[in-house]
Amino acid sequence: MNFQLKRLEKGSIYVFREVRMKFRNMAILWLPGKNSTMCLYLCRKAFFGKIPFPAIYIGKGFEFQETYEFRCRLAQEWKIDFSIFPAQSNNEKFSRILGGIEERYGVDALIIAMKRDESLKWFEKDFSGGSDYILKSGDIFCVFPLVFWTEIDIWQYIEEENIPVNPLYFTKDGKRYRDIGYPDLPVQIRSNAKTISEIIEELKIRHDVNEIDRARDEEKDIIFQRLRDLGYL
Amino acid sequence: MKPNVILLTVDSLRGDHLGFMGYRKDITPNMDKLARDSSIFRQAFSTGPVTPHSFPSILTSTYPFDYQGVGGIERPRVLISEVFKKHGFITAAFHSNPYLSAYFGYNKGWDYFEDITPPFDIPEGKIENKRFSLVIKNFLEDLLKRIAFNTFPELYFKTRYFNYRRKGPTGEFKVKANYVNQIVKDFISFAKQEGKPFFVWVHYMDLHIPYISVDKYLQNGNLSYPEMVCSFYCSASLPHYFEKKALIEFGKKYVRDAIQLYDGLVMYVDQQIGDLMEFLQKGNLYDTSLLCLTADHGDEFFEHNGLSHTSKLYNELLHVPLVIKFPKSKIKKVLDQKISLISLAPTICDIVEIPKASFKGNNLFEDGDAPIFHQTASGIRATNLLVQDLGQCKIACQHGKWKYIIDYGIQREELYNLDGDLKEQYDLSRFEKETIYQMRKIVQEFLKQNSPFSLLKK
Repeated sequence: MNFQLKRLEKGSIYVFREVRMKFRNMAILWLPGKNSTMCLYLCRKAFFGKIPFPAIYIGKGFEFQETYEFRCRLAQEWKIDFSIFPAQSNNEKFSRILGGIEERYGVDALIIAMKRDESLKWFEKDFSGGSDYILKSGDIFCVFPLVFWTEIDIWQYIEEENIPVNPLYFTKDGKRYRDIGYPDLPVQIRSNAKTISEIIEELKIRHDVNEIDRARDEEKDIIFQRLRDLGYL
Repeated sequence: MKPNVILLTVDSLRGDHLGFMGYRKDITPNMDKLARDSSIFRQAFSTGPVTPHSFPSILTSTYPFDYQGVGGIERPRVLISEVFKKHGFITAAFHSNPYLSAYFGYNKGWDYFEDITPPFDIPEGKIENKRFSLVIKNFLEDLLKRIAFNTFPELYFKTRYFNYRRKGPTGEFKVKANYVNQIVKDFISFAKQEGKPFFVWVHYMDLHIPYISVDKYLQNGNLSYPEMVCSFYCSASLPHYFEKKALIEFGKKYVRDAIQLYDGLVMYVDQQIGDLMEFLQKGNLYDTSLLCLTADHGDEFFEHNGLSHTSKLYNELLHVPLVIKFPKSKIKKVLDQKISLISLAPTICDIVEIPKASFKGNNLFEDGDAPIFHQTASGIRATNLLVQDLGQCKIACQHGKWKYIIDYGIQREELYNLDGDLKEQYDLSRFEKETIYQMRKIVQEFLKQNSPFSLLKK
């Protein structure tokens, strides 16, 4: 695993543990997309194979057969007992859903697998205060362990760690889904990607960015910066 | 089934600031309780005064300058985790010291190796410009120090304090012990269910400078001026030790504050160790596990013109606590012979009855009064990890009542009689020629046996 991914993984795991110390009643939100699945995976890693709080799935009334089967597979393989929270409609405002979850489960913090760009896109107006990865919406704190990950980071990590993903991400008749999680409606794009490697290659071409190269020389710099902070060097 | 092994190490914990080691303040009730259940080595010493010169001995039972130094832990050094893993233990390490990171090779042999770092400690976007900005920053800092700091230390710190009050804190330094404990407890709960014994190493960083709690520094923002001086004196003055009397006199004014802050942190770590002990007791693991408590080095409070720890070989930096609680046994000994932490790993292996690999040390309970040795870099900077020639080394030897230090870089020898001069204040090297000769021979013999250059092709 390259250093950039290791650093991101460590950061996310730190967030999981930190919020567990800070909040009494918390839950993790699972949506059928790759971000949420990776978030569950990291959560299990942080707590040595367990998820020490409820995992909540937002039921939208309709779901793809692939998604249903994928959720059953995760529940079985990772021993997760999903609690299903019924959403009123596909367009229901997320802050209302948060309020509903708070009321129903009595949680004061909810872990949500969103990247920084997504959280700003969907919830900017609803949030007040907080830190880089903990924001308050109404009476509930939202925690974003993946806030510093990019889409390519996430796919690379999933490939590296062999994390299962929803089969809707892979091509069928020249098209595949790119975003599967709520609140976005699933978005289809033209693609021939049959594997995660091919998805990563597509993303690299699209963004013209090589995320692996960016991280190559960072490890030494960061270690030495930490030593400086401790008074060495 | 073999017993579980829990190795607790506390960064910068002096041997003489604990109740069971005779400290006048009652600040360590939990560690004292552990000591009452254990065997205690009252004269335990680390191999070096800084983490990179101490941990190779604790975890690999080799001297820091073996095999040309500790640029990275690699063969022929074998980590104790590799030995335990080979014998069926689940192995786990939880620490947050960058000198113990995977970058320096400490990650071998662990099923779970966690160099705990707060997330995103280098913000996105800064990294690409970091090399250049670091060079400029270092240059300017150095210039400021050289011109202003030596002459007007008070002014330097007042300015720094003013900036802190104006701009707020600039970083998060240490991971707190309660956070580390939470991970350890989760790990132990997991390992218990696996039906295999575990070896877990836990390293606490709370006592390391800066002597302030992360909470106080980051959240309240009300760091006092003495706290600022005590916390940053070492790093600010590092290039100037022994050079300027004014600087030393200035620092000495704050020594009481420093000790008070340090003791407060010792109390905090003690509470956390107590919390972990309680967890073990509740899980019926306390009595059946092997528990070790020690430190990588101490800290100085101007005993030798400095604060915190640098590359000096005096005993305030080398004397550490060592407590070993046997599993399922009432063995409690208080041992007064001088011992080196190089023998800790083989002792743990012996107690658990697994082979010791290629460890250099012996069983601590069988060690006689053999000389013990310490190594660090010549000069006072701790960063010299690789040894190209002996001129980069400083070596000390304790044998009987004598303590001998030789700095090969500046060709300086020191000799202390620890019977009457425990604080190493009176250098007798000019008067005790015969003793110097004998001690020099012992060190030369040690260097023959433990040459830093043994792997070099002739």
